[in-house]
Amino acid sequence: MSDNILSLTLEHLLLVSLAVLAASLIAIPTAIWSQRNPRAGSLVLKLTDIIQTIPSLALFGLLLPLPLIGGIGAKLAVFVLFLYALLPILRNTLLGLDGISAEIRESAIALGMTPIQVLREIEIPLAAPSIVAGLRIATVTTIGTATVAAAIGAGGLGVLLYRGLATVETELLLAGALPAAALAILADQLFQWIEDKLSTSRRPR
Amino acid sequence: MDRRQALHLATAALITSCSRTDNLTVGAKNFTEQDILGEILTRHLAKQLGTPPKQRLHLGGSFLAHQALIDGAIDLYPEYSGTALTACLKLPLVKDAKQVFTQVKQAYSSRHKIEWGWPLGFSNTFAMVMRKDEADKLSIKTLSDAVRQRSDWRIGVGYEFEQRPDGWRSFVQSYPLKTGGNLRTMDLGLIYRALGANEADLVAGNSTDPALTDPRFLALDDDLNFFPPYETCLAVREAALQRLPNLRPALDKLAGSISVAQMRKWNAQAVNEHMSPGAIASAFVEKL
Repeated sequence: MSDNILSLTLEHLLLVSLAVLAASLIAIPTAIWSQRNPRAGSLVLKLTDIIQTIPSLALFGLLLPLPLIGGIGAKLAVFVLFLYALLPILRNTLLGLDGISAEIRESAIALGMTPIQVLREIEIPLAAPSIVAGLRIATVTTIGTATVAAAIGAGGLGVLLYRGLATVETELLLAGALPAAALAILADQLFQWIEDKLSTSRRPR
Repeated sequence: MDRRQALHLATAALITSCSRTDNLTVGAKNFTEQDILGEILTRHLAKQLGTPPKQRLHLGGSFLAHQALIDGAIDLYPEYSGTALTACLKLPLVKDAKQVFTQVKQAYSSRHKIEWGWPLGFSNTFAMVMRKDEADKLSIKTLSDAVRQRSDWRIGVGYEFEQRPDGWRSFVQSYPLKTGGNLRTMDLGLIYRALGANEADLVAGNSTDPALTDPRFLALDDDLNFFPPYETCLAVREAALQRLPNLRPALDKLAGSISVAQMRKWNAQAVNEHMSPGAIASAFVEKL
């Protein structure tokens, strides 16, 4: 584990990207499934709500002894960040899908579209802005929470924060906090740009 | 209740809490033992002085507690002599306990107008701990054995130990453990979990940790005497001692009142039996 800010920033980005990527791969399909099975879906949502309320250190302590995901290092850190990223993506995807009126679905079916086609051609494109908004929240918040990865030796900018806290050295604290803030702003801008793209492409020309 | 009312209420609460600044603030660091000592100080002083002191417990580490004491955010807190010497006052390592005590006392007084003293009766040194079965298998009893017998140590430490002058960097100069670059820095609260889960082979804990009563773990002997003495004392702002004439005699009553065995037992009660530090402190202060 190198100590300079650049490599710690890259490590941080890697932790965040892996966690958000994994969370979207799980949360988006789960949201689609939940929308079709509202009762089970609300249970899934409650579960992700509960996960969100468990402090990260407690989660680390609980999961550390487990095989496969446990242990000291990046694996467990990514898993915990993944758990935290599930809720915003799940909720926003669901919100986007719920916002599609029944008439649109019915007319698509009346036109002879199969359920898969309805999903691909109608539902996903219409829910896309909401899904992207969910990814945006998940990414920006994960950049912040990823600093706890340093609590289990997984690196990232939290290392500088933890060291700065332990030694009351403001320079060290800032060396960790400023790049993390910059990353969050950059990520936010990136998703803003994607959202703008999506909304202009949907506007009738 | 509208927003303005809420604001008024909050301001009122803030003012009443500030009006007690003529009082005393007890500080402590962020681990179980300090939680208990902080509660003992608070309850003992409440009884002796008649008014309960304010609390700022669980401060995030030695450096932070030291800063709070200098700034006057707290008036006193329990500190360990070796920590005061190297981490707070940044003086060179000394091994003799008496010398450490006088050096710390002088430096605190001349630099920061802080009085050092009231040794509580026990020391809390660093303890390098490994799994007992492994230690038996490799016949490791001392830290020198540890250097000799194994070449792929995975070492778990907290961020403070990683950074302190009497921590990792000078430790490996005395005990050149072969780690393959594998220092695993983590939250201090997780080190024994990491050791138990076989995620680390040697962790830097403290001699009063209740985990040391666990038969699975073994604290290795510091055979080269690397660690300085860590006698538990109180660091108190001189201004507070002048402001409150009853403070000194009250603190004198605490000196020498806590043994190592007692402290370890309290730590175990707090960690294993989930007794609150406040309840432990109450029972002790009543009998004092």
